[in-house]
Amino acid sequence: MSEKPKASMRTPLGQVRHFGSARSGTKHAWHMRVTSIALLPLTLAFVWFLLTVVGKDYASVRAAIANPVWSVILLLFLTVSIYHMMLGMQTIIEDYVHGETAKTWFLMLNMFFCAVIGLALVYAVLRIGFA
Amino acid sequence: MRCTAEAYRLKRAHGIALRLSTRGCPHFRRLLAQGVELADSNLDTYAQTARRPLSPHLQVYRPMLTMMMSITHRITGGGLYLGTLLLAWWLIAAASGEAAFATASWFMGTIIGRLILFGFTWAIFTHLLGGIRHMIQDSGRGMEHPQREYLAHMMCWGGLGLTILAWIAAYAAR
Repeated sequence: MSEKPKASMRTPLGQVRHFGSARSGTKHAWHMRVTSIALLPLTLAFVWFLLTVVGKDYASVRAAIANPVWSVILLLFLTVSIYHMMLGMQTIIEDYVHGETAKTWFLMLNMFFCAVIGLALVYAVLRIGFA
Repeated sequence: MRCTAEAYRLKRAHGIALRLSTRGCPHFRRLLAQGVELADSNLDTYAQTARRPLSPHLQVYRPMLTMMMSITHRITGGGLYLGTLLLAWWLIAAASGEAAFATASWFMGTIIGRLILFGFTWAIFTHLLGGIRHMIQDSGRGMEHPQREYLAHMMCWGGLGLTILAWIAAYAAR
């Protein structure tokens, strides 16, 4: 009874809704920046690889991908960039899709798309590398 | 939509500008579904849900390079997102076998395929330079008048220049 109520930083509406911080507020922004710095060298390497290899014959392309150095660079580029683009598309969806139901579905679709495409790309590189 | 009608009625009656996105606000909808009268006694609630400061959006701005480059960053990001489909097709074809690879490789060699690949590399470089621009401005630098224009030009022309350079260099190295 005599306890002093704690002063709250929340807005009155925020207190009623009970949606507070999940203590992960900066995770998205920080991961975006970390992946973008990692992608600076990886992207340059990937573009070089793509432009020098596309159009070559089957055996040469497979040999280029199977080269261990290029395999690792490709795997790093693919995993980091797919994660980066998942975060980016999440922001786009949150900015433009306002309906709660539609937004939830699009956010899920985004994760599914990135999971499928990411796994497919990584599997393809590994399969060629281990062939 | 009922909420839109209510929003216009509120605006007329009380001079409160409601964002259209208020329609999607679950709190606002719940109140409407409960049949709460939009009377003066409820105005505080509505003011909290709806009377947020409105951010000026695209239609009120004159097009400027800094703003165009901000949009370009997002559009190239979205384009690269879809571009992974093409990359996946090519890589999976290479992993599947000679026949599948021949089809994917043939497509990449056509005029359309080459144009897509050129656009893909342009999007990569422009988005990459846009990211560098973001990092510089994240650090608090490059926001003043001439510098922010330089950065926008760097992204716009640098992206195009790097694309052409990379294609020339790669073709020379093959």
